Amino acid sequence: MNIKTNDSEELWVCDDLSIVEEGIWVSSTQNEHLHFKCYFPLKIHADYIDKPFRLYLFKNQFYAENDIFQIFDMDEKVRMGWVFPLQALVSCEHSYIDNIHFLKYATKAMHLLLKDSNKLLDGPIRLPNVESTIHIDEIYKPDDIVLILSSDSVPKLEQFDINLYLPALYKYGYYRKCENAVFLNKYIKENYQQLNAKIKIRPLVNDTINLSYITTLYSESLIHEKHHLVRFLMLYQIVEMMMECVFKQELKKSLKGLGNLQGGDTVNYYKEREKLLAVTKDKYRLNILFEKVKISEILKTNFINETNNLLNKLGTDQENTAQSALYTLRNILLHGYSNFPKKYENMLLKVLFILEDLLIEMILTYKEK
Amino acid sequence: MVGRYKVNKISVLKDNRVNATNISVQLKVKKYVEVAKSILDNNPLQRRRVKQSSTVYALLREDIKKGCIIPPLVLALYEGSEPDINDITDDYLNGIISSRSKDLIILDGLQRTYTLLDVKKELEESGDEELLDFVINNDLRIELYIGLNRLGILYRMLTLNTGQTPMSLRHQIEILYSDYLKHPIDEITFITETDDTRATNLNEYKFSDVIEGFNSYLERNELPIDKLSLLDNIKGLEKLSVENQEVDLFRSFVLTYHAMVLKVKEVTGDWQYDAIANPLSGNPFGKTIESIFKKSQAFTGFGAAIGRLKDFRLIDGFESVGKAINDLSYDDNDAQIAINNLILKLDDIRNRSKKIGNSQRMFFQYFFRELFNKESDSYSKLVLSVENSYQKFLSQTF
Repeated sequence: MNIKTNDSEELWVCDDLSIVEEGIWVSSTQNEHLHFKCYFPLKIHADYIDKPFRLYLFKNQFYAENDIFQIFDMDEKVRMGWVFPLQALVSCEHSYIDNIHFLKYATKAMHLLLKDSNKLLDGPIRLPNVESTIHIDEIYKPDDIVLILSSDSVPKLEQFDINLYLPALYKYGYYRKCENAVFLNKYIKENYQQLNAKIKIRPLVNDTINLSYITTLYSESLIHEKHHLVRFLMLYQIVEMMMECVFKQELKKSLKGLGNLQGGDTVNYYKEREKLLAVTKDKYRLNILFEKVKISEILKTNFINETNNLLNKLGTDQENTAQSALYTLRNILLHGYSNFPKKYENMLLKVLFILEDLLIEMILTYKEK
Repeated sequence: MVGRYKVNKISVLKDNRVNATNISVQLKVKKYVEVAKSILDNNPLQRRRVKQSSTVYALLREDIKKGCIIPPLVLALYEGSEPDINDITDDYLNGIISSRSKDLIILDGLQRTYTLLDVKKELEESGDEELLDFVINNDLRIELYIGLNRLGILYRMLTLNTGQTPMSLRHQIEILYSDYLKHPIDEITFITETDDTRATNLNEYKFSDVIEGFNSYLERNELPIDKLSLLDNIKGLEKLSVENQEVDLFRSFVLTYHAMVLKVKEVTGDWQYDAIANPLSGNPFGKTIESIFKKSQAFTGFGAAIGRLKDFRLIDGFESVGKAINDLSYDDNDAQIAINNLILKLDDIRNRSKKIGNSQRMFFQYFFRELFNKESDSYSKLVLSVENSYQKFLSQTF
């Protein structure tokens, strides 16, 4: 790692990192007098030092120092790693100071934060002078969140793609570290506050969804965009993508059905023709889509209720399914936004917040069959 | 004494700012390097050396070999009374430099001293006797302060070392009161981190925690602030010297705090944490009165609270606090409820804070302000103090 001190023009290249029971030291093999102690008040457990791990930096507006969670893959039911505030590495006041499993990951996290500082930071580590102790919460941002994954638990760590997990993590308020102003919704806070010791996540597995768009959405667009109309349009693209998948599948089925018809089977011919015509309609595809995903009843009910509250104010008929509520909302915003009363913008925002949650469940549970 | 290596007095001046005698002397490099190692090894105030491969010190090494005159070093005699000016002779000065080297401290010139030692070692190892002889027979000037008290030493160190990062106020306080490690305050003894013991007895306190608390009193701030400007550090020392005129402030701080711990222990009937009656989300902040109030967070909260109450003229000083402590009296139940509640609040703080330690300090600061402020409804009332301070804490942070 590269270190610069305020009282010298020199750039120190510290290539030796030693983690022993007595402490963590960074030094230089070129300059025997350069030794920087790293402040680490937790008990050192260096079991994982030589193992390959992955570390990512995230943010979460709702974090507290004590929010130290294990991350589990929901489907494999295996612990992938841990996620915790950087603050947890420099404090003995949280509840995990005696948790050996956490301490092993914490020590490894310190190791990676120091060793990979050239990659993780924008420049060299800055210290007041050569007598200074390295405080990890001063060279990184004190509100950084560490997500650390183990090669033992994630066997194909080398091919691991964190972007596949961004929607699942976003559900709890975690987003990739960025510097600009952030806009997050309060329902995420409610999701976050329900966490207890474990976060269960699953990756995006469907390769028909545009991963590049999803990554940008959950690491930049939704984090920064405040305007409700823009947010809705960005979110609705997810629905459009999935509906396109539905369209292709249903089209294939219909064409296959038509192809299987015997000559003169007029009744079935008209049935297949009707299906083919139906599949071109958004409403029909939306219904099919909702059959292919798993959304919790509570979430669907919340969405229907809040949408109906808004529809009531707008003098529009109530809806009784999530898909019809979504479709009506879409029509209002795409075709009738010019008449949308400003006084109901907060209500709309509330609906969109629930929609965010609903869409995450959709993209993570969508199955083609 | 070999005449060649004698110390020669040049001039004697009185420094009225720090109330000490400043003597300018000239001596050979050999004389100085003989005692320099002893000075460096025996003094807790000395800071760590800095070796930089391509800075001005590398250049200085070469210049010394060429016979340059290096700027005067500044030393101070630690714990020396101011001599009569007529007694300041060359022999007197020789005696100080030769036989009291372990009481000498380098106020300015630490890195130059290391450089001189490096050059001597380098020439000895290379066997260049001629150059070595040349170097050690060069002349060197030193300014020697005699009669500086500890505060003066620290003040001079700060003002002379403007080119370096100043020592934190906390570090200075630690040095200033390091004597108390050897000499207890009444029945109170201090334990350091190097002692392989914990402060388990009621009368034992961890020195670094007490220092943090006292520092918080001086700074009027419960948060650990180490990065102060030179000016802030000097102001902090000056504040201390003003307040410290008639009474040993540190001693008063420690005794008052200890009296508070004893009193709270008494009125709570020696409270102990009951996990079944008072379940928490994790381990309690402390399981006994001592374990709660011996933590750094309580010390710093106390220090900051007393400092602020003093600034707001709500108390005169530690004596007022002593009186408030005596006024604490309860039946056991109320006080037990108060401490159970305190533990509960601290548990909640742990779960909601972005920086738990800082939040705890802030809470304790509000708690002690409520408890010792005569104009507040919670004065001397543990139960109310816990509740009101927690509400104040929430309103300020969330």
